[in-house]
Amino acid sequence: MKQATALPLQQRLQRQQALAQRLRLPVALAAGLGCGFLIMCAVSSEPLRAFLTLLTGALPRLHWGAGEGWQLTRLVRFGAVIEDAITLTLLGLAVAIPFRARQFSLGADGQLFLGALAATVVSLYLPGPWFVVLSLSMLAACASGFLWGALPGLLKTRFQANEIVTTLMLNIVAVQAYRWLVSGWLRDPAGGFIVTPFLPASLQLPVLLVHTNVTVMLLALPLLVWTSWLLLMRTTLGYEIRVVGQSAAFALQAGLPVQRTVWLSMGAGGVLAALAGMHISHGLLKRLPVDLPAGLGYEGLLVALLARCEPRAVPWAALMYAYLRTGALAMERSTDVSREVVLVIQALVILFLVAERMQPALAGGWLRWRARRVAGGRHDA
Amino acid sequence: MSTPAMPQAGTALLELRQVSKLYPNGTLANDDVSLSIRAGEIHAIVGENGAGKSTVMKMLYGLEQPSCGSLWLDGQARVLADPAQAIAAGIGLVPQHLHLLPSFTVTDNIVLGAEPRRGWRIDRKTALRRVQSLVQQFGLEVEPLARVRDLPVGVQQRVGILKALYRGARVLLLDEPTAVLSVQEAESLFRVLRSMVAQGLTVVLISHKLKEIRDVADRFTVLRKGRVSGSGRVSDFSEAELGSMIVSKAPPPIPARTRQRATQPLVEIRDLQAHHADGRLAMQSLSLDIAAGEILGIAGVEGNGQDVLARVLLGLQPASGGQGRLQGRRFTGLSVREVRACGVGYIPEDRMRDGVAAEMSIADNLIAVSYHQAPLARRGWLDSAAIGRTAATLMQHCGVAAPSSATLMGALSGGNMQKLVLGREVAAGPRLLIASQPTRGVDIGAARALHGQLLALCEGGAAILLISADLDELLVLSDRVAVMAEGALVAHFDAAGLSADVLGPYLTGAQRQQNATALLDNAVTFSGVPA
Amino acid sequence: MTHDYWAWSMAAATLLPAVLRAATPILLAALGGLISDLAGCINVGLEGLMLVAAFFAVVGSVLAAYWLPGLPPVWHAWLGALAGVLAAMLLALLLAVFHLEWGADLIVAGIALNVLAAGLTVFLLSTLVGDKGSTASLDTPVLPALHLPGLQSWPQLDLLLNGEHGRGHHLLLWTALLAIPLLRLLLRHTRTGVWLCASGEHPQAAAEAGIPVKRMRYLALLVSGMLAGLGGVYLSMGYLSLFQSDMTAGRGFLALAAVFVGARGLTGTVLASLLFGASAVLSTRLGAAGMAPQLLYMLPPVVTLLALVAAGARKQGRAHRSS
Repeated sequence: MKQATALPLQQRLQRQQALAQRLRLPVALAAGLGCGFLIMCAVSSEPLRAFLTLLTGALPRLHWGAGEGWQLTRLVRFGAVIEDAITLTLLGLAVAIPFRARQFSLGADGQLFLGALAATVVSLYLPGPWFVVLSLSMLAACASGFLWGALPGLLKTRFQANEIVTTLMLNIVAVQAYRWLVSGWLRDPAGGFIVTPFLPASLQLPVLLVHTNVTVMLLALPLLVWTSWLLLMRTTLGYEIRVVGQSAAFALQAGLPVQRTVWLSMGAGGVLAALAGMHISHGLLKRLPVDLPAGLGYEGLLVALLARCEPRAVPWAALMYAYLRTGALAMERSTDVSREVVLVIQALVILFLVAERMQPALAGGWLRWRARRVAGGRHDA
Repeated sequence: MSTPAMPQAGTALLELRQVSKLYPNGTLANDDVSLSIRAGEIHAIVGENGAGKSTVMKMLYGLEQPSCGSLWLDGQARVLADPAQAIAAGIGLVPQHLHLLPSFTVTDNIVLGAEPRRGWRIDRKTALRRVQSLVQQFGLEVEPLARVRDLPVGVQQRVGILKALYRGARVLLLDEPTAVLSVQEAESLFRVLRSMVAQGLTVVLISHKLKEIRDVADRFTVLRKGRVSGSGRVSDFSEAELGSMIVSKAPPPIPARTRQRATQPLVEIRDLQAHHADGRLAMQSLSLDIAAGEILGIAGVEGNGQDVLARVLLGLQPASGGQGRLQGRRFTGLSVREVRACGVGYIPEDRMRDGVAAEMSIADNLIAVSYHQAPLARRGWLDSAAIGRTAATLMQHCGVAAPSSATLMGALSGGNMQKLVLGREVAAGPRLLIASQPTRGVDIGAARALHGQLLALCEGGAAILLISADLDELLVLSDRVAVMAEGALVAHFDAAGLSADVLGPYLTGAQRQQNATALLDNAVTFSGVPA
Repeated sequence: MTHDYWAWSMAAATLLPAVLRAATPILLAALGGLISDLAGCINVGLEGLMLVAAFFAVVGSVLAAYWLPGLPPVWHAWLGALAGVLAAMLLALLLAVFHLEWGADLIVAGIALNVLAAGLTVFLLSTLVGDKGSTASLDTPVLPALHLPGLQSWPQLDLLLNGEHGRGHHLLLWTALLAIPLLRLLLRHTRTGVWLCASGEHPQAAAEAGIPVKRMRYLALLVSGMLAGLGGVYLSMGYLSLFQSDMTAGRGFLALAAVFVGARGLTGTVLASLLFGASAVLSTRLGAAGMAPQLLYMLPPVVTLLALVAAGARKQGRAHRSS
């Protein structure tokens, strides 16, 4: 309208929006945790203790003993937080990249299983020096993850098959294929229960923290996060992903290869999920049980949504999620509140986080209520 | 349907008193506007693009609420919180872009929201009867059981008017009704409006076409930059006085240009054909040529295949027959990126959906067609410094001021966005530019700047295919004008001396040139003699 | 000849009830998904809604028995079913408020809803029952079956309409079948149905015609909650007579797939739901024949994938043939 005066108004609006963006996560966290506390009050006899255990249960304990001086205990528990955070970061990135292209790929679970399987098969049956076999295992995991991610993408571009449903169906297929192979062909006859043989010691990832499974993956993690960010912000593929995610119609008429972007983004996500699988097989478990729990992929989804699909925020969201989950385990052990309440809290946090208009609506409502009180019942024009 | 009785002719029926509207994004659309619409008159709300007319109309219909000021109906202050309340108060709206449900029939669309019932079931027989009686009463010919998606746009508008009348409107709001009509259809509409007024209705017309207003309106209110700059009886003012109320100073004339007389075509399109997704023919066997430095204007009522032509040429939609060549190279049937690489540029008709990504930064928008090539990217790697420089240069060149190239595109005005869209296309150095409704929704100053850019592009040797519903723009800028109706080329004229009246009958498809093609050598001059 | 026909028709009549039983929860949820999709609000939280309904139905009936022991036992089942459906509708209301009032992305909110439901049900299960697996330790009622008398002289019909054991089909199975013509009637011949479809097809046109689009979308999401809730209640009070954690096992997503495969039309959705029910029955029969269990579990998802691919190929084929 009036161009000259619009500029400072636009700047003020930009600053307001930036501020609202920064406050969104803390407010959503507070709201979600608050609701969780209310639920605990309803079902538990000691809600306050349960809530505090949830928030602090994952921390290592520092205490003073008369004989030994300062001691740091419960490091194993904290190590578990870091292990989980590594897995969840990889899974969060695996979901975040396709989501940026507005592809709701929920296939991280299946890709994880296949990645672990492929890496294990190569490690168990390929002879050679460890650096060759390990690299080939990683390659096999990445390839299988890419294929299992790109497949639903191709189904979408060729047959308009909705990716939410296809990725979920492919998850089931992958998990069942895994279970079939581990119970049959890959089974360790000497093992007590249905499991693959142990991986050769040279191929297991070296450990950083004693008594934990925190491996060199921790060091690889910043590299992977940074690589994902670079992919999204500094490469042509990343630009294509972002534009297709924001406005597919605009991307089409500008000549962007929209279909290729769709399945490539999902394939890239698959690679990361498969690496998470390799982390589990070569870092955490050292062998693959048939009853490896399915569902980690959905936790990666939660992490990605908490981080608003921004790669640099994913490790922090993963850490927070792993922290709360370990705290929930501690809470379940020592109080009468079971650990699934953390899932409820996470889901509520996400709902509050993506409610774009909630804070402005609440702010507007509060301002109107305040104005009405000040006006004291007088009519307003 | 009980609506309040028709009031005495001449009394103030609908009024806005000191109304302002401030949108959340900071735009002040209306500033202290007061207008009064009398019963039984045809009242015109006039102003150029961006003057605030649409906002006034939305407030009269309950789609928006005034930030301050009040609305008065039948001498009482009223608040219309949503369209349902406006309808109940007897106000009906016929929007510029008709919002009809394509898969429903004409009758279903007309009675939408107030379907007659027998018990809990919808009574479709009664609905049909009532629609037929309305058709007879007002003389608006429609086929009640046809599906709306099969109807041409002019007929769809009649459905829109019948919708408002069915709900018992006493006041009919028409937003730019003749934008989608040919001259003959517009005259028939005005006859219908006059007969409605004779039967006691009141009509409010939103328009920017001075001639129309003088033809049909009784009284008028002029809006300029959100404020009222004049009102009164149309017959009391001359055209010049009205014009000066609409714009503070006369707009710079569209720059004159020396018309080209070319012999060799740069762009050759032969027998191009396309179908809709459901099998209907969208474009029939079109042939046209454009020479270097020439502008070929395509006139036509919206929805007659022009958009299909643009999309097929760009590669967004496949052609089912025929081909197009640019500098001898075939470019139809290729992917969008390959077509653009051949030297084709495109300004889409729907700016917000196709032309820009409103939630991304200006820089991200500007690099969309060239991000994959040097200097913006090498081997898949983006050069953010080069991107920033390119964006800043382009913004400066187009005369668009913004805090930085990281500002969101959606924060800019329509005119600024379109300037950047055109700038982006021109920067790629196209040999053929397809411009579809380039100045729609753009204020006068920005429109003139866009015209200047188009002419400069022409002088550089490019060919321009200009698709526009604005006949004034088309006639001044084009070298030759072709008319499309119902998906086919029906006329081809030399632009010299051509006027809108000559084009009128062709726009409706009432008149056709036999086997019309828009080749370089067969343009008809206005006197009817082939050039 | 007649003997073969007899054997064939008896086999078909035995198979169809099994397919209907397997398809009922999917069908109910799919009808709910269809309504919300027609109104322009795709509901990906059907899975969570079914789960919540299944849980609260069982818990509700147990609590009803505890608080109102004077009532005849069949009333406890009814109250439980009511509790289950209300719980699902409440959760659907939550989704509606977050999306329609506060602008949350519908798909993300639906996914969060599924997580919420999964966490909430296991949490409350372990809190109330002390067992995270199921309510097997409790004695929970089922809703009654409906027996159609007087069909003894037509054995195929009797088998078809009264099931293999002659006790009649479950009430909710009949409800699901009845819902189909009811929905057809609603969508074509009532104002509400037409307004719902208009809100989804062209919300702006609907708003300008005075239709309260937001209210229609609230209604659509609540109805989808009710129908998905009925599907969940059937799972824990008909198909089985207890609640197990994750007992929906992806049926909510199969329902969503049914809406897509059925091209968002009523007939297509019903047929797709029956197809998915048939694939579940087929995998059970193959299991009885000795196929490896993991390969069996792969069968329904593969069928779903093939159905989606076929539906997409058909749509493209139609477009290609016409051009």
